Amino acid sequence: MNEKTESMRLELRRGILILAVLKALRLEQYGYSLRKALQAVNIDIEEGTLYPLIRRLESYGLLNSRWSTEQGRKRRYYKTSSEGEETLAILAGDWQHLNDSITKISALDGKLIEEDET
Amino acid sequence: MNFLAKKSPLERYVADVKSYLPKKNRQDIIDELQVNLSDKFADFSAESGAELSDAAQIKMLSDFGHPLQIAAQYQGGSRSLIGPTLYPFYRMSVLISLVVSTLIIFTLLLAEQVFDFGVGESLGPWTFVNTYITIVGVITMGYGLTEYVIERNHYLDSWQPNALAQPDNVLASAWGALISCIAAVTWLAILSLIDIQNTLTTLVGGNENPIHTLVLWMKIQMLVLIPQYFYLIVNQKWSRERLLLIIGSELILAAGCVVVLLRNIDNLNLIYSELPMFLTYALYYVVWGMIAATSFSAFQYWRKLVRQQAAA
Repeated sequence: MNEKTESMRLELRRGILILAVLKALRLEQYGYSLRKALQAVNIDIEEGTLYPLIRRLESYGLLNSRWSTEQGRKRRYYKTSSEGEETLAILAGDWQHLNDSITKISALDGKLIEEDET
Repeated sequence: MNFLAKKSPLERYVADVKSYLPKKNRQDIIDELQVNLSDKFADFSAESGAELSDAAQIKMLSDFGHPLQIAAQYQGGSRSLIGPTLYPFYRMSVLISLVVSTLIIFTLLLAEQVFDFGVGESLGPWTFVNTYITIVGVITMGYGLTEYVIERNHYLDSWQPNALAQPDNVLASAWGALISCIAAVTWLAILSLIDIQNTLTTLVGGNENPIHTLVLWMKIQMLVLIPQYFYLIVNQKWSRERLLLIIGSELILAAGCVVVLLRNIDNLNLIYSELPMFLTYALYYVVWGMIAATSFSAFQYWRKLVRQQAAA
């Protein structure tokens, strides 16, 4: 895969990252555990991007956070806030629309190829 | 505490990220980052069944990203002095101004060799360096300021089509503005080549050389004009403020010429005694010509302003 394609893939994944984070953080998690949870569903995002992003979302009021000490380690846990839930609903709706549109375009593409062949 | 004890790669990494962060929230970010990275190391260590070596830690940290990059992400990522919208114009302005000024300096050096007109002492290898620094500095400041103004006023989100240039008026288009910018900055850099005292005495013609007085007034005129040329690239509308600024800049030069005529033009024959008399007289008429040209130009802009206000 060439560099341009790789950068396009990265851009596409970055676009859905906020949606994925807000959805995953309906269950309270801290940075590294969130990263593992996303990785488990094949969303492999760089930690250097993910950790600053969750702090940014928190500063926008989309996440709540608290420090908690567990197994002798102090960690910062995040959870989607009520404002975050509202944003999540909007983003999820947009994502669904985009998905539908891409499906329609793909179907159209098939028809065009058929017309071309005839 | 043993300050000489060797820090682990993780400790050194986190300390480095910390040094790039602003004071606010710095410790909070670092505490969180350290825990996340420590947990990752512990996970890998548990998987491999052995303590992570320094080399393995270094590899993982280098995959994580340069501390400067990570700190920038925590600060909101892409904040820049000159953003992607203006950057192509910025690059073009710098390149063209550098090329043009280089050609001018070479021509001056060559002319000095052939005619020996007495400015040789102020020209040399450092002339290039000084000129380039002036050009890059002024253009960077100009675009940086423009970027700040358009961002602060949300200009690109709230623009109106009637602010665009008339298609038949090329000089008032973005390209016209760009050319004006380049010409003005290069002119300022060339004026800066002339070794003059930038003092009040020179400004009011209390010095000997009338050319120095004129050059100082020209420099002031350019400093007034240049910022609005940069803004002209994004917004070509002839606003009232812009017209007043241009009228003011023309009057500045006219005033400079008047000072020269009143105070020190007669010194010209004494200072440049080796030059033919007709050349020194020519300068006398050039100064009068400049007064006429700048006054006429100021009058034209004033008429434009009056027409605009009447239309409004």
